[in-house]
Amino acid sequence: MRKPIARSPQRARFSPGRAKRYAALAAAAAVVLTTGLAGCATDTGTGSSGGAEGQVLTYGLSAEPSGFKTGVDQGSANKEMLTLVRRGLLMYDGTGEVAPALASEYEVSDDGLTYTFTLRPDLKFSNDDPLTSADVKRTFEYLADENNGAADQTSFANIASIDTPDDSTVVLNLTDPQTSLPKVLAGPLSAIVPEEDVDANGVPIGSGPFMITEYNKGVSFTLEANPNYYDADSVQLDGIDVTFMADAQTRVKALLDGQVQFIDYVSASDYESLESSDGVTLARAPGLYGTLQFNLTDGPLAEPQVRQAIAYALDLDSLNQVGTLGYGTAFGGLPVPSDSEYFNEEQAHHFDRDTDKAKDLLSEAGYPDGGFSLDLLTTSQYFGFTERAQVIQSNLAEIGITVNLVTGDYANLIANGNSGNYDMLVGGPPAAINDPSSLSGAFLGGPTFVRSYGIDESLYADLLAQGAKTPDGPERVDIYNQIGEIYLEDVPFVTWGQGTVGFAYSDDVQGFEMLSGPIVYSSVYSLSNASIAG
Amino acid sequence: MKYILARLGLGIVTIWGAVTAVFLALHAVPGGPAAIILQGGAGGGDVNPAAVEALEKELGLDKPVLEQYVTYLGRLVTGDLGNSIKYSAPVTDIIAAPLGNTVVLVILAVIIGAVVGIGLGMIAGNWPGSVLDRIISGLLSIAVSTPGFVIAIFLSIYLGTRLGWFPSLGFTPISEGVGPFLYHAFLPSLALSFGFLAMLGRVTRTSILTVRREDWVRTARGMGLSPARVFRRHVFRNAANPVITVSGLQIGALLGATVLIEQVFNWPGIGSTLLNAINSRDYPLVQGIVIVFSVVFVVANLIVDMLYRLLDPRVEG
Repeated sequence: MRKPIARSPQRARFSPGRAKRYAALAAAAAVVLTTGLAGCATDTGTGSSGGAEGQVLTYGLSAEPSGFKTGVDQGSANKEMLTLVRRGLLMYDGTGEVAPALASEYEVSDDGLTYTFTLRPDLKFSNDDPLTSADVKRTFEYLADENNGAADQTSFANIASIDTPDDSTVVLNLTDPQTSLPKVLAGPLSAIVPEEDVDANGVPIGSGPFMITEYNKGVSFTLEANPNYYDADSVQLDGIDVTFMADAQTRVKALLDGQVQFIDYVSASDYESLESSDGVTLARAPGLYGTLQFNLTDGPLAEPQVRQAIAYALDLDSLNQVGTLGYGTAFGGLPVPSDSEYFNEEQAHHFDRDTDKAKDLLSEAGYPDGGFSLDLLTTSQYFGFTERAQVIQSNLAEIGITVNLVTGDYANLIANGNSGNYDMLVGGPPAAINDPSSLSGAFLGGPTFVRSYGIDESLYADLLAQGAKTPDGPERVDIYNQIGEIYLEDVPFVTWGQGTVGFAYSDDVQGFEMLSGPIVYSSVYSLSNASIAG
Repeated sequence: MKYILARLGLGIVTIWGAVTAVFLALHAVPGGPAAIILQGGAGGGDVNPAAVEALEKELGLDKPVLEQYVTYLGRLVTGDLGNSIKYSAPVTDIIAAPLGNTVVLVILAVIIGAVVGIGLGMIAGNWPGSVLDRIISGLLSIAVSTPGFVIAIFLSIYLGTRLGWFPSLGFTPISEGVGPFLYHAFLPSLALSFGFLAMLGRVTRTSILTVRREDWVRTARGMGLSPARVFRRHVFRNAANPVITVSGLQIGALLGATVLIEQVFNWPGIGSTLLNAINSRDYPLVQGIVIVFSVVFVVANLIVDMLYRLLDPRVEG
């Protein structure tokens, strides 16, 4: 439109309105031009390499941790960060075995009641404060206090007293033997924390291989190698730039575009494309268990036969197919990993699909042809929940039970799950360690969204306590088999198997080792020895 | 002046209404911040209900909703937006940076939208029925009916990943240079601008078409004024009013559209902050952001009204 204006025979009189308009246009042009020019001049992807001189890993993290409350299980992203910045007495090595960490060695008394840990010399937190046996004692006492909300409070409650004969010796005196104790202490939530565990910026202080040096709220963490780490020489990365990327597809795209080198929480729907992409590696393993939880307090679900009927009606293979796109593991019975020595094959197949049997059981319970409806609580926030809920809905329709889906965000699921405001819930029991004693989380501890509401704890409590203190071996296997038999009668929830967890990284990243089962997020421990090639 | 004051008063009532509605809605939705903080996101585990209660008490969430509401409003009138629950820091501190990042996107989107949208609308409106008009009108129809996040994904994949002209996602803080910052901002702004651009283009076209048919335009032409002069003096100025109105009203929509577009580009703006705040039930943070949104909306409307009066004194106050 410029041409006719220029040719206009009569010059327009100056008008403020027009001047403003031209000024705005000029400004627009300037900005667009700047943007374009800037684009040509610099090509800096987000956090790409972060510094030419050092080895800095760029990490797309699935969530901004909602804080770092000591001992509280605040989800996968939180645990991943803790494995980087904190250390406990023990840790997991790349095969999932318990390995020494702050403690170079430990001894167990013959009766299994006394654990004596020897700390490495001259330990320090990243803020230069010394780390002594007193810090261990204070941390464990904090974790044992039920008001503090530690996820594994019962494991620490078994510690009757803690002696600290000197700065580098910690003696745990137990009430009962505790077979799983080393595994508990190796978890990221059992890390030793300084007296002021979180600094003024809201970042955790620890004695791990890295330390958070910058927290850009809503955006990123900057981690640098911690010079005070006891094994600082073995740490090859100079730092880690962690960017929060809540969207699963965004993380995958960022990895494929080279903007980050490592991502967590890869959705099963992206496995195929990542596996076929050059230059990236997908690491995946079975993760946590999934269950259909019940509110057992009243109505048809208060009848064990109805719950058994539902167990017979569910198609576990379809649930696995839609919930994990077939990458998970489908099995019933107790929520124990299928590769565990405590896994009972027979019990796992007890409820193999049989809709006729399901209908018979419903009749026995006084509901011939079903004829009732149940609300199924699920969430649309994470993949796999609503998908499974729809399969459950159609499976149960076959035996005459109408299922109404109730969906919302994850906070909604937590709230309604905690208060028992549901008939059925798509969920899973808590488990922090690869040990059958973690089954107590599925049966004991009062109502929360991770357990069926109104469970009869007395059926399981004694055997679970016995299992917890029995050393690994046939006797212990027998105890958990007994628990399994009770479960098959009672069916306080229906197990459908293990989900799948994936991490993906650029082929340049070396040294990452994938663990499986409940400790799958502890895989990030291995980044303490990772390096970047090239 | 009286008119402006009345409008400002109305604006404050609007903001108060929005705050109240959001406050009540947030507290009516199941799930509280204490449970989220303690139980975390995906993969989060067991926690003692006693610990949740203790944290609720610490956060003052055990008090009756009405009491919380009155306390909140009381602080609000003194300009205190309260503390974010998730970050334990003042809401104003938390939203400053993401708000700035979003404002950049919105400004860039407005500029792109205005330049391209009005330009296309003028071309189409001046030569109605021409091939150019048909092409432009068709494109504008597609643009106006395609959701912003779809365009965002498309741009990110094609201009970002495939062609590599711009970063497909991500962000560089402005402290590391205006260039890299704007370079990252370009694709999200472009995606954001589409709806606005299409709306402006269509309104401009229609408006110009209408004005061109007016008697006084014909008169001006009849008087022998050059087409360019007729356009500038008589068509464009008179066609501008609806364009400005639509622009103002669209500012609110632009802010809303950032929520999804920022997700696609992982842009740390106020939209992402709002989404996270809702997911973590960070009541003060959600309310703070809603207030910011309402203020922008009210102010944009006020400015539109003022401009309207300025451009066309016949508009009654």
